[in-house]
Formats: sequence, C-alpha cells, structure tokens
Amino acid sequence: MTKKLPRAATDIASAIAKGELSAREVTDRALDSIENSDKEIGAFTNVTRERARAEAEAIDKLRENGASLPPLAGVPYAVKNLFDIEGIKTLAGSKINQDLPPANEDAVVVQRMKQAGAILLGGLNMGEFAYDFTGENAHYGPSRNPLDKERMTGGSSGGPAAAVAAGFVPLSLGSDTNGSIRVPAAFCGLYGLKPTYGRLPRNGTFPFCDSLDHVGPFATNPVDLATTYDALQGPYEEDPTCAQRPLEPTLPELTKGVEGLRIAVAGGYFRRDADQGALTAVDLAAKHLGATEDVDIPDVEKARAAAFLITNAEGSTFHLDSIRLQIDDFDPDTRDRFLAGATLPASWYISAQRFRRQFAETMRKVFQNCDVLIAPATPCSAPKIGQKMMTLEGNQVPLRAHIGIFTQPISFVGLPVAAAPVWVDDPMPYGVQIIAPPWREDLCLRVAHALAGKMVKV
Amino acid sequence: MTDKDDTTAHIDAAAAILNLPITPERKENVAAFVNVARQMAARVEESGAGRTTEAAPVFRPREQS
Repeated sequence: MTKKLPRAATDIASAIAKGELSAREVTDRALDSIENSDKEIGAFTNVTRERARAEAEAIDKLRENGASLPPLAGVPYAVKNLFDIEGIKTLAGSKINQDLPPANEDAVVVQRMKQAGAILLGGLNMGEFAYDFTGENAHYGPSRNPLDKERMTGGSSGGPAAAVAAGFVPLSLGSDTNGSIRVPAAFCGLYGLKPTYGRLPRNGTFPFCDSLDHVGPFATNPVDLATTYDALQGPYEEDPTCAQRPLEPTLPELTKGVEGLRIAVAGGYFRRDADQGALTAVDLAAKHLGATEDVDIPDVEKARAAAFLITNAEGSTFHLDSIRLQIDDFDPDTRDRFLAGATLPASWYISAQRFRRQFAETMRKVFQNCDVLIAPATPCSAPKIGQKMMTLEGNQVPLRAHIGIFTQPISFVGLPVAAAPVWVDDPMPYGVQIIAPPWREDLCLRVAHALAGKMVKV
Repeated sequence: MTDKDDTTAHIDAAAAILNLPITPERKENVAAFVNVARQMAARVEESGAGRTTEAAPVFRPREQS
C-alpha cells in the first residue's frame, strides 16, 4: 500500500529534504489525485503536468547534488486562474479572456513560489472576473465544497479553497478584493491570509479593482500559511501599489503566543446579521484568546457601502470595452452588475474614496486601544450551490449581497486579516477574521497559530 | 418623477452617452443594481467626508532611473 503523503506543506518539504520522499513522487501522486477526483470538485481549469514534473525533477536534482533546499522545495500548489502562468491563457474565470494570448511569463508571486521551491500544478476555477462570493461560474461550472459537494466553496477564490480542502495541494494562491480569500477559507475550513493592501506585488495578475485588490495564500495550518506568505514578500518596483517594504518574516514570530496582546471582539455591526453559528464561532475564539472587550466600530455600514461603489465603478470601467463589444459572453451573474457599475456618477466614486481615507483614520484610532480584532468571516456557513436567498434574523435576504458583509469593510482600508476555521454545532465550518493594524501580518498569524487546534466546540 | 423613473432615466442617458448595451430585457435588473448603488451612495454621503478629506489614492510620480 502506498504511504499517505503528509497533509502539511512544511511536512512535505521536510520529508523531501530528508530523502523520505522525492519531489517527483509527491508531484505524481498529486497529479493522479487531481486526475481521479477533480471531476467531482471542479477546482482546476488547467493542470500543468509537464511543468510540474520538470520543476519536481529540478528539486530532486538539487537534493542529489547536496544543495540546501528552499523552504517549500517540492511542495505542490496551484493558483487562481487570474495569476499569469507562462504559456497559459489567464482566464480570470471568464469566457472573454479565452481570446487573449497565453501569458509570456509568470506572475511575480508565482516566480517567488518557484524560487521557494514550490511545484506549480495548474490554474484554478474562480468566479468570473473575481466579482463573486459564491465560487459559482456559468462557463466552467461551480467549484464544489469538498466538505459537502452540494455546497458552495465561496468565492471568488473558489478553486484555490477547493483544491486545498480536497487535499489535491497543501497550498494555493488566491486574490481578495472584498473577501475572496476569507470567505472561501471560512466555508471550506481553511486558513487564508489577506495581507495589508500593497504588501504583495500584483504584477501578472488580472485586475478586478485596483484600489482594493490583494493577493494571498490558502493553507491547512498557520505554519504553512506563514511560510508561504514569507516566501511571497518583498518589494517590487514595477508595481506602483507595492509598498516596497523590506521582508518582514512572520515565521519566527508565530510561536510567541498571545500573552500581552490586547485582543478585542468587533461588536455592533459585526454582531448583527450573523447566524448563531457565526456568533458562536467568534465567542469561541474570544474565549480561547481571553478577549473580553467588545469594540463598536463607527461607520462600518458606510465602509461597506463605499467599498461596494469603488468595486462596482472600477471593475466596470476596467471591462468597458468587453461590456460594449461582448456583453453576451459575460456570466449572467456578473453581466448586469457590470452594466450598472458603468453608469455610476463620478461623484459617488470620489466620495467613496474620500470616505476611505476617513475610515482608515477611524480604524487607526480603534487600534490605539487594541492590537488585534476578532470578527466573523461570514454571516453563515457554506450555502447550497444555486441558493439565492438566505435567512438572517428571521428575514429573507439576497445571498450574494450578504455573504461579504463582514469582510468588505475590513479590506476597504487594506488591513491585514487571517481567516481561521472554527467548528461549532454545524456540519460545516465557520471562519473568524483576525484583524491587525497595517503591516502587522505577524500579529494575525500569531493569533491564528495560538488558536490552531482549539477551534472546535466541545 | 419617482425614484424608479429617475433610475430608468439615468440608465437610458448613461447607455446613450457611454454606448452601453442595456437592452430592454436587461434594464430591470440593471436598474435594481443601480438602485442598490444609490442606497450605498446615500450612506457614504452621510459620512461628511467632504472637501477637507483627500481621496484615498495618492499618485506618486516615479523617480527617473
């Protein structure tokens, strides 16, 4: 019988470094698993077999030659299909991008994963042009939640979450504009990191909304998440948004624990419109962290509203040519939102950007009195695929519009957030957001690590 | 005019000026999304982030290398 592969990326890298496994063996087994089981999941849109095998063989050769191996040597991963992969069309979940030529080089963060020794297995399914919280896609089918295939993965990074939750890969990369890493991480029981806005370079990724787009990793545990994030960090001059900060490694900080950290729970807005499971998840996290203080952040509704307007206006403007010339090729679930966004008055957009500055100041003041905030990631656990409405506080509300109500105000001002899974009295997991001041990803990951393994209600 | 009429007039004008393919069968759904944006804009305008608040993105010219 074949020995089971380790689940964690860092355990795989360690086994390869010790010669207990070869990178080629790990890669082939991951490729077999995708071949055999992804039909039921719908995580991958491209599988880069030849490249994966070549990258794996290069790692095995390095080891044979006695070279020291990089931190993710031989670890399989895959990327949301809005990241450029050399030689492959960057679909961004769309039919429209099938007309584009293949990318002529990898996205910068894909190049960095390669430098870290990781093995790229392919491109992953996503909501069209990232305008999505469900993981559904009219062109390529939905990504299905491996924990219950009748349920959504969440989106728009549905494929990246599905690929990790299904065990095809231990790591993936996604993007998050309004919650597209944190929502699928919560629905699929994973860890996800949305770094500070401007931390990671976005060159070679297909944009959705420049003002709010972030990229980041998914993993099954905080150590893998921190290791991957550290591999992705570093300045990149060609990206005008990238903050050009030096590498600030988080892995050495991970085990410092939470003693001395002032951890508060986001109250008010973040306690309304959440189902009981979502509230229990936050309460459980707060209990484990000893967080007793609630903070009622002012103007959160306005932050969500402003994020909505910026996303709608920028996303629609970006796609204006396609809207005019190829409107019938859009997914019906994004088409009319893009059409509406193309009509928005400039004054609404500028007001939203002005308010962004104001809300960033609000959050700066909040963080004068605490180091970390805990909030629900979603108002519910993963809904059924195709579900259009949900019940919140006894009222039926449109599902798509409400999935991101807790993530959207946070990414609006670019704060770093780790999503951590929580299991309560529900067959499906919930997620909590661990939110820190700008550039303090280390705090998000430290708290996530302190919670790991404890987040099951007993 | 009602809010509904306002939204329809806005959509018709924008479609003409910007050459947007908002066909009659799409108009109702587009109007629903514009109305959500109207509500969102009203909330943002309540914030009082007026002329003294600089919009968030700041353009920084890049040095000649």
